[in-house]
Amino acid sequence: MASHFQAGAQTDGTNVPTFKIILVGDGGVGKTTFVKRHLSGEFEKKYIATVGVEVHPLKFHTNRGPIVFNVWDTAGQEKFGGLRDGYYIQGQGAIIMFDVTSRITYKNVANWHRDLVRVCENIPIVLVGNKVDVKDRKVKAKQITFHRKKNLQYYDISAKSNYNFEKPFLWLARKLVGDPNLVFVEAPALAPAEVHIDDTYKAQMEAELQQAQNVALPDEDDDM
Amino acid sequence: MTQQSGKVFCFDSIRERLSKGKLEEIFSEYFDKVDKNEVVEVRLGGKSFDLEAAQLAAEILPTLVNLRAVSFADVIAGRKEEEGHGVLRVLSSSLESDQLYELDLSDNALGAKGVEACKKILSEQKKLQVIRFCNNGLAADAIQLLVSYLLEGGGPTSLKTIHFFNNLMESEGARKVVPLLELSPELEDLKLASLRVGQEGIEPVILALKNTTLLKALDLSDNILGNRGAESLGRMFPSLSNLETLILRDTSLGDKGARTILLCLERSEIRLKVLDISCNELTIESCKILAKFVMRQTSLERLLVEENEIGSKGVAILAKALSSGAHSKLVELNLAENSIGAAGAKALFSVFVKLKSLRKVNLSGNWIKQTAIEQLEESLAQMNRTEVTVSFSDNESEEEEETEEEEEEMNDSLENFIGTHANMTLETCNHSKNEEVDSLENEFSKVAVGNKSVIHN
Repeated sequence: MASHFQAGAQTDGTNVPTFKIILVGDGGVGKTTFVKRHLSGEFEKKYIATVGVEVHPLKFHTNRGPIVFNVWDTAGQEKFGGLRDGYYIQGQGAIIMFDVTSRITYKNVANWHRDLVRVCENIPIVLVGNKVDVKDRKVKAKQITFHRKKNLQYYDISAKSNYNFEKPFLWLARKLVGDPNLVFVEAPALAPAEVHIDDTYKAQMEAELQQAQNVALPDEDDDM
Repeated sequence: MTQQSGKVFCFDSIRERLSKGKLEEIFSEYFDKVDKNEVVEVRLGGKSFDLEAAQLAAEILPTLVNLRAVSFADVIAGRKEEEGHGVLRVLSSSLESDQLYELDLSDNALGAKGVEACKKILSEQKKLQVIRFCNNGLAADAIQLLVSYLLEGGGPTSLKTIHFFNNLMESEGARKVVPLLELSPELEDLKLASLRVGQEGIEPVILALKNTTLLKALDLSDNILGNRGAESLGRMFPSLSNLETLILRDTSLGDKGARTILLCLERSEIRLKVLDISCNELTIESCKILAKFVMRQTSLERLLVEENEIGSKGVAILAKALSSGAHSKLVELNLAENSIGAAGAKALFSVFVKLKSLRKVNLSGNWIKQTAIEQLEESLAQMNRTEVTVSFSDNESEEEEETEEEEEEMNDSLENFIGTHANMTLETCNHSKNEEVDSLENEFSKVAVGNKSVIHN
């Protein structure tokens, strides 16, 4: 029920609270693949020609009722800087995506972040590293430090295997609703996994990530 | 260069959507001042064209009879797919065949359909010497199409520069580039960087370099070479004797791969000006071989080894190799993020006297204490080398500071070393260079043993 949620959310006409989520990152990191995993969102997507984006409404069922994230996916804008204000404006949350098999996409996270916060000053942002199913990683857990410098949340994901698909959305939902105990009560319908990550490897990745989080960072710096 | 001198048309730096009306204004203002015959290069990047604006540009471009270089980089941002492709089709169809030497299509979300929209310019400009496709979202299917257009009518091409950067090429796409490399015998500058190419894709690319004997610059960074790729590349060095710039940053070399590369380089006729082996998890082991390599490579201008784990001892070994006085061309040394402590930094500073051209040193992200940094900075003034910029940002991590003993030990060996060499004039130093090389060679010969199997000519 809408009344279970804080003010700030839009509604979609049926009283379901709706939030605008901006999805950015270099070309080829897997933004579109990621957002298309959610089958109902893919079915109902809309194209907004004036800003060149596809909007995918992704519905999740929480213990406080349904919630919709309108995820704005850039239709192939390969370069950051300017031209994107219409896209960022009124964004309520954001996902910055890079590809763990390409160092440059991680280096460019700082640029996407700068571009984003220039328009959306204080919104919850999740950093996600996609393609963790690939074993030849270029960006290792210990090298992923940007989120700690900027107070973002980080998740490893693998769009092709659905690994951690809901994690960024759950974190955003908790932040946007203002309830740290919010949970999803029903798994969304996702496209079937194209690759499989075995449990041992998942455990290993999670341990490495945990270990990396425990290492102290040098003082404030903007370099990656 | 075949490029004649003349005027370059480009927009201001504001990235925005561009209408036909606005473009008309910009053109008319520009061509009021500049004769069309003088324009040799047009850069349309930074503005997002709609179809009408593209049509106007397509009317103007053929009137620039001396146009030789065109950049259509970043011209369709925020456009709907069909409109974007329409814009590319109109722009790329506007030029006469064989007119261009340079073409840049970077920063457009091309994909295979976008490449198809650019078919005319890709297949009809047979004199192209420079092509750039950076940040285009190109996957294997798009690469295959692109290469087939560039090679339409058979080869060889006139290409001297081929740049692919930050695309989705992957190993499959890398294999599709091979025919283009094989048919570009005049190639001097090849960049295939940040393309998610694995060892199985990089190998055929490297093998295709056997005929590109004029190659001066090779950048394979941010792909995976590993030791297998390193061995393939090492085997190619005898045919790449003109190579001056080698960028193997972040290619998963590890000590083993770096050793292969450095030993093969050392045995080749290649005299590098730029070597970048940053971000490869290199330790002191690689440094020993690097030192041996560096001693002979007196043409080096830039040496980049950042984000490795060479430590103070590694840098001391490197410093020793640079101390002969023969590296008068070295301008830049990047040793950032290498777990280097004060002793290592001191060892390095002690050879600055010999590095006459040195201007830029990066020691940021190391473990050098603030007090040591102040001393080092002071020593620059004492050496009368204040023209050298040294970056020390983000030093002094609390956790893994060098132990006092280690530092003492390093200082002692360093003092002995400096004691022997400090009073030499440049001439005597050059005289004794061979002795120096010989003694160091003995020192390093142990390291080189067992690597003879690396090269299979």
